Amino acid sequence: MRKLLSADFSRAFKSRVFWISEFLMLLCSLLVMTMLLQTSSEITVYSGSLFLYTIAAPIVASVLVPLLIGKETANGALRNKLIVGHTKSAVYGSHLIVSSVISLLLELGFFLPYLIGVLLTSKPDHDGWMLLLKTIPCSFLIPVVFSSLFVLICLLIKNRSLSAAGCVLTAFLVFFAGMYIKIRLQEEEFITYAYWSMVNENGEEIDFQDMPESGTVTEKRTEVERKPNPNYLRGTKRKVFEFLFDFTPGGQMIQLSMLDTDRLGQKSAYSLLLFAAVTGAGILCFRKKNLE
Amino acid sequence: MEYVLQTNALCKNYGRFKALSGLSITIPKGAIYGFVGKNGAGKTTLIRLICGLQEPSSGEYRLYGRKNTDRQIAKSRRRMGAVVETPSVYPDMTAEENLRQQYRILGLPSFDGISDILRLVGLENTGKKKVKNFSLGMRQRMGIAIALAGDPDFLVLDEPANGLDPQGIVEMRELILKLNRERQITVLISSHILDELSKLATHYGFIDNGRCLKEISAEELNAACRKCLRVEVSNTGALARVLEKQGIEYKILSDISADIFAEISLSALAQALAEENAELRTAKERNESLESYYIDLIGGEKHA
Repeated sequence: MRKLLSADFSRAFKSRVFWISEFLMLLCSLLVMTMLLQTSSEITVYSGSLFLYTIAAPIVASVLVPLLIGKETANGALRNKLIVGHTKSAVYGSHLIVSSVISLLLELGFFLPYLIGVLLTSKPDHDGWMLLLKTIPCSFLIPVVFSSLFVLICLLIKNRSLSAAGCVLTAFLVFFAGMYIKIRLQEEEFITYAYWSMVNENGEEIDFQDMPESGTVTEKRTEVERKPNPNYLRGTKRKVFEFLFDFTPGGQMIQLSMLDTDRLGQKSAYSLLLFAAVTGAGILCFRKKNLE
Repeated sequence: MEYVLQTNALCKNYGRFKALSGLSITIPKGAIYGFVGKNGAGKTTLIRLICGLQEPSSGEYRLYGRKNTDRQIAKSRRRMGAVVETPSVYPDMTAEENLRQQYRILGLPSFDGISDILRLVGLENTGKKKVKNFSLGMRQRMGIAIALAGDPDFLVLDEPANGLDPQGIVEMRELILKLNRERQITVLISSHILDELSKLATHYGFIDNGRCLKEISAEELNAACRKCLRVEVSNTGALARVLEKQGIEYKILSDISADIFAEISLSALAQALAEENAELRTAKERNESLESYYIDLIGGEKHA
């Protein structure tokens, strides 16, 4: 495995695409900070923008990982490793480690300049530092879970274009699934039907056509009916959606960008579980796969 | 005899299709083993199995004496290099970078020897040219260069002459012979270019429908394919006496037929036989090549 890691890391770090991706993440970070500074004089850790890297890094990695691994699968260079005695599990493991490290480096490409921006423009208090320390493990695990998905796709699909498309689609699908879950969970339990009317200073309802030339006219909300929202998730369905919102990387991404720091330990455990499950299934399938 | 590869009743199924059905071959150390068969006969499947790219459905093989299910099989694989179908190279790297990458995969402590390998395969002057800009022949040689990294004892080449021009084929042949003679590398070459293979191989394995039809050494094959005159006579005993007197090499095939390994005058032979009260009935010149031997073998199997 050590030999494979040495070879794979060497190839990744020599890749121009990797450095372009790192530069993109840095640029993204600078752009976000510039936009924040236009509305405020300081960049704080209490901003959902800080966690934009949990969205940006997987999306950039979805392009980068297929370029590194997918290429090797497609042009057959993967065979050179197996022919000289490396096992399929070792090849899979090496790619997984390299992809995960690459994803982490992409995150750091955003996170570190942002952190410097925070330190230069504001001094985080104790709570600020605690927030950072609490969220880092969970937020850094999200792109690693994505990496495990990308490695699985790249090593099981020989066609390079298909695997590249599969990775990008997966990244967006997971993200939009998180968005969908959030929207469904945010549905109001009741829909209130109301109408608005104009009232004069005495609180009397007046007709729009009889608007007085002087005096104060205000709007009054009159509730007519409250009906249960059919889209509101109830019972087991709601529990399933809440679980998925915590369990999936898409849901975790959204929660972090909303600065929702509840159950971070649990979410990290879910990420590790998902990572282990995807990797286990991937290694099993890759070992059985007939390579050409 | 020491064997590099031994397969025993090896089977590989893809769904219902049987790519290999009970293939058993042995490759002696130091041989250039020509693996002959038509497209789809199972040549590449066997190579994929022994390279560890796929697992056999049943049966077993031994690489340097180690069974394929042995946990230590990786140690045996470490002694081999292979080019399976197309050369496995990184197209956006130079020849030297490709070799450096393979050296890292092998865990070799230094990059010494890369220039020697490049010189050996004739790619020493490619400089910064990326492999994607190489010609097909150069890519084939690049594939062999990668296979040679790590100093293997066993080289597996799957259709190495595919797509090469006549000059490229000659260069490839010379390279394989050089590796076999100078470095004592055992070579397994799968090919259906029989004429080319006959200039290289010391042993042959003929495969059809996933089964080995025959294994034969080049010497045995040459003997079988030797130019001769096949005659039918009324009495092979009389023929033997005539040929013995003249010191001509022959082989009696049956009571009435024999092969004569010399150029002789048919009228003189007929006269000599007449003096022995025998008759020359037919005479047919036989000049069998590897190709006709293979066709006979395949045809014979089909008609059996």
